[in-house]
Amino acid sequence: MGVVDTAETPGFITTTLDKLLRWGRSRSMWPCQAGLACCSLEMMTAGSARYDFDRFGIMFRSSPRQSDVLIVPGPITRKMEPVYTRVYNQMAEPRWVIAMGSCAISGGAFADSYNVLRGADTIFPVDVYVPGCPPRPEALFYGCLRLQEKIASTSFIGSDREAIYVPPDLPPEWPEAITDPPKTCLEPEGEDDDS
Amino acid sequence: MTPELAAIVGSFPDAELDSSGLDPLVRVPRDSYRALVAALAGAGCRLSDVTAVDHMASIEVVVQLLASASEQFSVHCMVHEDDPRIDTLVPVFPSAEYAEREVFDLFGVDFLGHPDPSRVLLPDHFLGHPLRKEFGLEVAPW
Amino acid sequence: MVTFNRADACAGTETVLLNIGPQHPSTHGVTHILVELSGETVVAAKPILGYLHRGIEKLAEYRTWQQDLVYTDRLDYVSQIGNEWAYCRAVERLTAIEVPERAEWIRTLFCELNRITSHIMWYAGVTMDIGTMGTPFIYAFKARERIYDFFEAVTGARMMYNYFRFGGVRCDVAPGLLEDIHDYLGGEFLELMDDLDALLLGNEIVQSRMKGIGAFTTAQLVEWGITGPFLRASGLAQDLRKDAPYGAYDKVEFAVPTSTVSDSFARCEVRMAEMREAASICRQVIERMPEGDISVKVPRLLKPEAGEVYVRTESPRGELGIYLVSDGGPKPYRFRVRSPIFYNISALPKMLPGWKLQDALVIFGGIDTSMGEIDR
Repeated sequence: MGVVDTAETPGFITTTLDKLLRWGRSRSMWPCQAGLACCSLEMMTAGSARYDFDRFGIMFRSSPRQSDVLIVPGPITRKMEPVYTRVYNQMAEPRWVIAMGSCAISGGAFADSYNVLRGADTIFPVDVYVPGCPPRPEALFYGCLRLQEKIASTSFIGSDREAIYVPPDLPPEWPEAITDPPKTCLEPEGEDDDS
Repeated sequence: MTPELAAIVGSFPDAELDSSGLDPLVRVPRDSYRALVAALAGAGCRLSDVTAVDHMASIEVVVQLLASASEQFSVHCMVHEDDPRIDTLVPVFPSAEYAEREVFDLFGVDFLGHPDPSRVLLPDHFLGHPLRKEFGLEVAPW
Repeated sequence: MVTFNRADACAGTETVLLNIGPQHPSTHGVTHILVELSGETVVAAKPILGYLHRGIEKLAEYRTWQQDLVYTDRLDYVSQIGNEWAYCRAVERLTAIEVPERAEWIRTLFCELNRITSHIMWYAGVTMDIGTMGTPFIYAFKARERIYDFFEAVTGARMMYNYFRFGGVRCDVAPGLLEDIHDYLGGEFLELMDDLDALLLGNEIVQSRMKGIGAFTTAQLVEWGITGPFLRASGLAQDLRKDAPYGAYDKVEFAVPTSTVSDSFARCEVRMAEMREAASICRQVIERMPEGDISVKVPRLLKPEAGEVYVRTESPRGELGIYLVSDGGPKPYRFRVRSPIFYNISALPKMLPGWKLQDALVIFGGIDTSMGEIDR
């Protein structure tokens, strides 16, 4: 135990600081206002006076640059996919994603559509899944509170901070390659590197 | 259908008026399609909708018209799937512009003379026309 | 006074292409309007649609007629019951199912309650477009939450009700609940409406931003295919509830609010008046509702005879049409939704040029978009 403590060799000061930062991050989650479909109405209602997101420190931000949570309220269509990926990429780390509603979790009622992605987790990692169609504002609150617990327990000290995304392990009865777009209807897309 | 509209339909020899269904239905071949709709518009009909139905070997373009606020009828025109071209109604009804783009997008029907014949709902690089019957869906396993 | 003459200073000017959306903080969902600006004046505008195209019309061909009812809620997700009713009416017309009288009255009641919540959603959207930081939105949502409580008491859901069935409704309304709705709409709701009117129509900033903006003639609007409150604000009293009545609309007295001024402020006035009329219709429906059955027996697997039907309803946004083609099977052969906002928004390239950007947004707010129906 040396006098100087760093992130790699945490000591008393860094761990206390880390505890403070974790508490701060979790109690001021700022979601990006990127509404898609019907669930965004319930997301707005959760921000209105009866349910009131603000008392949990959750404040909607218009720009993804200023937000650290992305609540995905609705299905992501193939046309919206590059736009939404760009929104996600524009968020600075640490960032988290809440998949709200069955369309964002798995495609929902539109899972077999030709234009809907089978879940937001096919394109970026999702931290909390809030089921419902649409989930009640209380359900969204529950999801946000679980995310708060997750954030408060995520430490960036003394750990390998490189995030590696592992696509979800789908149950065997799904057809293979369900995360790939059906090859029949999309040309191979050109390199579009924007982040 | 009012007598004057029926007379307009009657003035086109290849258009037939079918009153057996719930609403009057006018079937017209491709050549007289726009002229008939223009004549009906001239008599005061308003456009409600332009859409299409895929019948495997042919695609049926359906135009829902309103003779008055409460009377409606439709004009149907079949195009063969190997030659899915039809005249645009935009000069007659400017509000048909986006609806015809959608019919092109989802069915592949070309509207000759359309000011902006591009896809409207699907991404531009999408291949295929989904609402055709041969476009299958990977139906979800539940 | 100094006047700058820059004609010889610059070689030329350029227009700016600005993307409004598809991700933007307003409540309009995934609307994308590409505007070309010369300074602050809109030179050209083009709505780019399809960011929420879920393929409902194709999916409907793979589900049975009853299963498609679930999709209708998700079309115009702000006025859900209106879509359900349109679809039920279309199937009932196709299969000649007679709906019992009490069910028609219940359907009218809930459709009008949904009209109120839909217009409140518009109210929240248009006030946020102007730039209020949420005050009218929060106040208006008081009424919306209360009406959602009524819906939840009957249907069990706050938003996607799945309440109508072919031949009636799923379950009856408790008499105590009808009294609660009656008292609420006659008392607390009207006081809140006075507050909302004062916040929106009485506010001088709103008046200066909305009066004179977007004044189009009736002929222009009819040519562009616009229906609904946008058209009624120009003076034409075109309302399917009066022109081709359905449900219990011919058995209650109500007025169709119109205005002759046709600017954005008039559209606001028309929609606020429609909210009050809807409350009055609901109260009359509750007072006069007959007793009786709420649904008829319909085969479990409905197989209408081959044929087609087109039914039009007055949604809060305009003329909603459902076109069904049946081939005699348990699944629709074609399910087509004539979306009023699809036609309304397609007139944006003709409506917006010439206005300043902030005025263009006010005009756009008057259309009251709901992307679920535009893109289906």
